[in-house]
Amino acid sequence: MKKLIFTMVILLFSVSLLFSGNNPKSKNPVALITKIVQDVKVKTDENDWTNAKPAQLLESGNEIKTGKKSLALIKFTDNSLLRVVENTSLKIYADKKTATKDISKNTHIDKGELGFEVKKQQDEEFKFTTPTMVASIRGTSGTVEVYDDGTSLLSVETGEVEVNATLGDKQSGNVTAGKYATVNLDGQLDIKESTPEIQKKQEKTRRSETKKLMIKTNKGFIVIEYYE
Amino acid sequence: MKKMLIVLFLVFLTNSYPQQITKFDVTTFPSLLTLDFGSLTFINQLAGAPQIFLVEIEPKNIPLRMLGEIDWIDFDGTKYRFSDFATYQFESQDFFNSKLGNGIDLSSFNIPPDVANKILKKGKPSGIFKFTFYLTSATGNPYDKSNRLKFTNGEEAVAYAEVEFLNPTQSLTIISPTTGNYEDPGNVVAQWTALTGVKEYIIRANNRLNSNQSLEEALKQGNPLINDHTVGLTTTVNLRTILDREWQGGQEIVLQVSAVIEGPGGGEKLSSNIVSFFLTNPNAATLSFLTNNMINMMNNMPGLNISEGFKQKLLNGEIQIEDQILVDGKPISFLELTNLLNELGSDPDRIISIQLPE
Repeated sequence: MKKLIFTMVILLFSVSLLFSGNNPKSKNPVALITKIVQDVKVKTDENDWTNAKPAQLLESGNEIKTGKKSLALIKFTDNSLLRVVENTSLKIYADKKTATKDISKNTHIDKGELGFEVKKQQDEEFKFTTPTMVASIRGTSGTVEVYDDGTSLLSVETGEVEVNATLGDKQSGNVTAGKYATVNLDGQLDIKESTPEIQKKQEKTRRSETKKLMIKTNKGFIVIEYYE
Repeated sequence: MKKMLIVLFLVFLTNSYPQQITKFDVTTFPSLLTLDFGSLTFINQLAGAPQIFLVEIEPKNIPLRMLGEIDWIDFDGTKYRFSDFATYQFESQDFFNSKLGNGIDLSSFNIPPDVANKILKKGKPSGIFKFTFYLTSATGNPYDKSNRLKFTNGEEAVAYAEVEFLNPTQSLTIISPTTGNYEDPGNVVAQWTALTGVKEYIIRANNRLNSNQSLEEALKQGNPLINDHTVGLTTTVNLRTILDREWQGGQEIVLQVSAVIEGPGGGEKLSSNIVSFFLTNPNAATLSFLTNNMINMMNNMPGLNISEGFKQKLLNGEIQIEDQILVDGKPISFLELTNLLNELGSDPDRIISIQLPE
């Protein structure tokens, strides 16, 4: 009888283990990779860096990096769009703030540049964070860039963005359409009118359509892939 | 005697009282719309023609005659009497048009030659053809209205049908060159479909400046390479021999052929589709310009590591650009390639990758 009770306890313990934390976490995709040009890699909880695939789903905590002359288009569930240009690495988060539908989406950019078109957020929040700032977005388009020295640059084409420096002086301010802000490692926020150079960056991040030029020669084809 | 008079009276009544018709219909066939002019050859013989209409008469086996009138309405709305005919006596029956003149003989038929020629010169049946048929008594003049038979309700026994042909303007088609092809500037043979009744063909060609320009715009602009050159009735011509001004290798050319159909008021002009093709063998200056643009573009993007050896081979002509240049599979001209290379050279960030021939 003692032996039977011991066997049953072991059995129950095994079953409880089977249905506990050893199960893989439930999947909650927050975004989708809609276009890949050249070298784009994704890092997930389960896998180290692997080549991204078209239409790959992204979950909170996933990391993305682009190589030279590369591009990734990322679309969130609310149709907000990120155009991640070459030599950029970022991490996306999406957490429920409360038991309601409130969701906080955060894209953390370590380095590089991206263009964004964020849909007007209802009960949600969309933020970009960099090593030096937090930018809260509500229905806005523009670019975010992180330089090698850690300085962040945010340009706004449409809408308005609230920027908070996270280091040093922790200055804050609102950046409106046609302006750009830089935040340095001392937490200083500098807001200025947009320049042709900034506009060129914005234009660059808007490029996503590619074309293929094929030129026949007597030795074979020269193939040039380029942004339209 | 009295009995005999009654019989004679009855015989008289039977022969003199017009026959009453219960059914008289004419039906045309939808497939007629797809047939060529041969469909209407019944106007010549009214026999041996394709079956294009069916006449149905009830009751059967009654001696009678039929009068037919065919009117033609041109696209401009003008109505012409195309043909009229009358049959000899025959026994009522259902029959196709092919039996007219071939079992049901014709006592007369008239076709105004000017109208027939006008229709023939259209090349294909066009406009609306209206068929109107009357049944008349077996004796007497079929053109005399008083001899027409009646339905049982007292109305005149007449049957109508109508056939509308599609506008024939698309029947003139350029067979060669075909759109997107590359042609030797010294020998571009154009060929197109022949039309009937054509007085002459006229050629127009021009160079297209870029792929954003519509074919129509390109054809109409400025000083055409071939400016409405008349080539008579031939349907093949070497365009090189009729150039009004010189064209250049590398250009994109648009071409249209028009047919002049004789007729009142100077006739009618039918235009073909417009085709666009490319000229190969750009001259030395164009090739040199193109090569320089390409090398300039390559020099502006050192990150892509184009070997100096490759650039040298381009420069010394060991690697030569040939006659197939595609953007996303669509052909472009040498001029467009030059412009594109120029654009990419001044904004090399747009270039994602370059693959060179091995």
